[in-house]
Amino acid sequence: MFENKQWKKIAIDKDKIDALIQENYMSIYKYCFYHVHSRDVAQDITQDVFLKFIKEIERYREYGKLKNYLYVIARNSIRDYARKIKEVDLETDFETEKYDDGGIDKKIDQLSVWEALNSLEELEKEILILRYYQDFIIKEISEIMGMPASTIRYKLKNAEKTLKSRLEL
Amino acid sequence: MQLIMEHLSKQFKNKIAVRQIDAVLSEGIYGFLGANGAGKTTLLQMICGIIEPTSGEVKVNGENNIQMGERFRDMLGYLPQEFGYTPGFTAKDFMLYIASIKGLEPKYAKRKTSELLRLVNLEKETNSKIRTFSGGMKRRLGIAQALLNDPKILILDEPTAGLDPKERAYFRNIISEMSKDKIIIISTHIVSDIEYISDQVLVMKKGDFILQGTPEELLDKVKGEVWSCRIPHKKWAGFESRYCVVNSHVLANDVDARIVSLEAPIDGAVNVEPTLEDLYLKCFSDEMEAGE
Amino acid sequence: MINKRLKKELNKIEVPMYDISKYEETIIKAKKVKLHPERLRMSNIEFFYDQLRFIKKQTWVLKTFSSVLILFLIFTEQMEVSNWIWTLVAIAGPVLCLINANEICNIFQPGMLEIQMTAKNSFGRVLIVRFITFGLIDLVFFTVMAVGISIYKETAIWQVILYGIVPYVIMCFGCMLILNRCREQNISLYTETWGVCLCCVIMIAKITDMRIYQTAYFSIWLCIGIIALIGTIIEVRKLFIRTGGNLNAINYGTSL
Repeated sequence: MFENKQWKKIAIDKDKIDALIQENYMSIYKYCFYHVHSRDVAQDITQDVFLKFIKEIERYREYGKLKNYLYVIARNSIRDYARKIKEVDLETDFETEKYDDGGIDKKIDQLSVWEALNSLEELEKEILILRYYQDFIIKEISEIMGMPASTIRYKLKNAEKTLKSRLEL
Repeated sequence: MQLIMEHLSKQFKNKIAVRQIDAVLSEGIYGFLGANGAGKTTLLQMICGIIEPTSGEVKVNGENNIQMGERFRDMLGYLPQEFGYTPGFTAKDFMLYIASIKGLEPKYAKRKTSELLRLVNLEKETNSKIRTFSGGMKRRLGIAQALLNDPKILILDEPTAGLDPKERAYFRNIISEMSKDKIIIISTHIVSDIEYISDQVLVMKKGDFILQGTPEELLDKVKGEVWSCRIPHKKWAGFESRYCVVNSHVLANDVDARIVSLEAPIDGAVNVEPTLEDLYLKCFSDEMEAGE
Repeated sequence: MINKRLKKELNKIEVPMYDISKYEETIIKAKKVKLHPERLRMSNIEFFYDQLRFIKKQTWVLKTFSSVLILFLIFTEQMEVSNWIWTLVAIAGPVLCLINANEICNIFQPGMLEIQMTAKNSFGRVLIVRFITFGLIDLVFFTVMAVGISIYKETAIWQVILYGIVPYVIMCFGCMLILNRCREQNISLYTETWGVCLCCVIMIAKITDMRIYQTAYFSIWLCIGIIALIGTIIEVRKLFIRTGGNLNAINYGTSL
């Protein structure tokens, strides 16, 4: 209830916007990156997420915690983006990005993790990212995705199994 | 946005206040013109959802207003004919209280309250007790409270009662400025209040709309029927009882009169441009069939 | 539970640092978004607490003062048949209820009632806030009084409850009747009159030494209490229906 009160004031008091973005930019950006593999695209989507969130701040109460709603919007934005592009060419992505200056081994390692991640079915991948990268608990994931906790647990187990076998763990 | 009144009627124990009213309203200013007791207040209260109709319903964009409940009231701003307040309240207390029941956030409510009190020229009286206010000041406060939630449907029952001409002009300005995205209904028996600002005028008599249309359309109905003439004193009494007199001014030998009549009431009478007041008096002095 | 090995493996993916200028651009654009603070509305709980600040301070003061005074008088009295304890217990109800009623009368002003009926938070909700708040406070008072008297004066607790609550409910019933029927500005005058009358009846019973607090009359007290309670519930229900927007009583004074 009090968190609710605090963030609603964003609409009345614009300084709260700084705090909101500061606290959440990195995690939303990372979340986007795990989906789209491109820094530029991730940045653009992250910006869209925050702008959309502020425009529709009145609606967030339905999703429980503030953070959950942010991720609901992020999820929808990623889905919209995915519909626009068909397939991401992993290899070219890595070559064109100049940020990575590790060795070839590191690149190969990462590539195999990416591939394993992308081999997952869409919902399983989503749940895995939220659990392992964003550190959400099952209850929060269930609120964000609008699915019962039991389903979440089930799909998560499948995802872990698939990944473990693909990464030979 | 559409506000529809469908076969709306209201009957009290042995009196029919509103008869089978049908109307479709969209954004703009609507003047409900009628004498006291014509059923205007009852009609407005049905639109607001305060009173349940005996038959028929009020719909906003297809949904019944009473069933919409909270959602409907959230778009509503209402100024009742009689203005009441908690004893001991100052203008600010009152505004903040109404803001609270309208669900506005307290911080925003404070801001909006100062803004609105400034708008209705009550800024200096912000911390004065309402019981010290004149009738006109109370009315202005009433208008201010109706605007707190930025209503899409604004219903004002006799908003200018007790206001002096300057205040009335000011009120007209405020209202015209905000009419683009709102449905504003002003119920009054003071014609000049709505003559210039209304997009449509609806004349109500004995519970029914007898006329509906833009001011120009309505004025067309009395075109050529308004006369300016001079009547000698000795004939005056007879004229007064026979004709619909809008205005008269007693001079030395004659009476200067403005009369509504189908034909020239006297030789030398000249046609003049009709105003809504002429129409109003014509409606309420003879039996007029329900027109468009 | 998170599989640590899997997590370690997954974290091999390096996420490049974002461009600071993009971050700043986001903040700038976010601040430019046209907000609609006028569209924000309070939740029900927020509304409840917000309404509390409109209850007049003098009401809180009166309630506190009366409650403390009555308790003080009761506990400094000796427990004998001919003293004032039971009278004080019986008077507590009407006094506290009267203070509540006067506060509630404030929002029943004709002209203001209509405005309240067209607000998002229905008039019923406004009443509920006050009923619940005052109800809880009075409940605490009666509990303290009942427990206190039964322990320190060694009487049966249900006696205290009966003699305390029945007059309270009778007072409520009267006030509800008045609220439902009166449409004037000085409605609080009527409730005050009713309260004073009730208190006088209780005082007169004491002064003329009518032994109404005897065991033999318990069933009468109980019956009166139940009747008053039923009456109160009916009137409260009527009030909620009336102010819920389905009644025409406001302008013409006739009821459906």
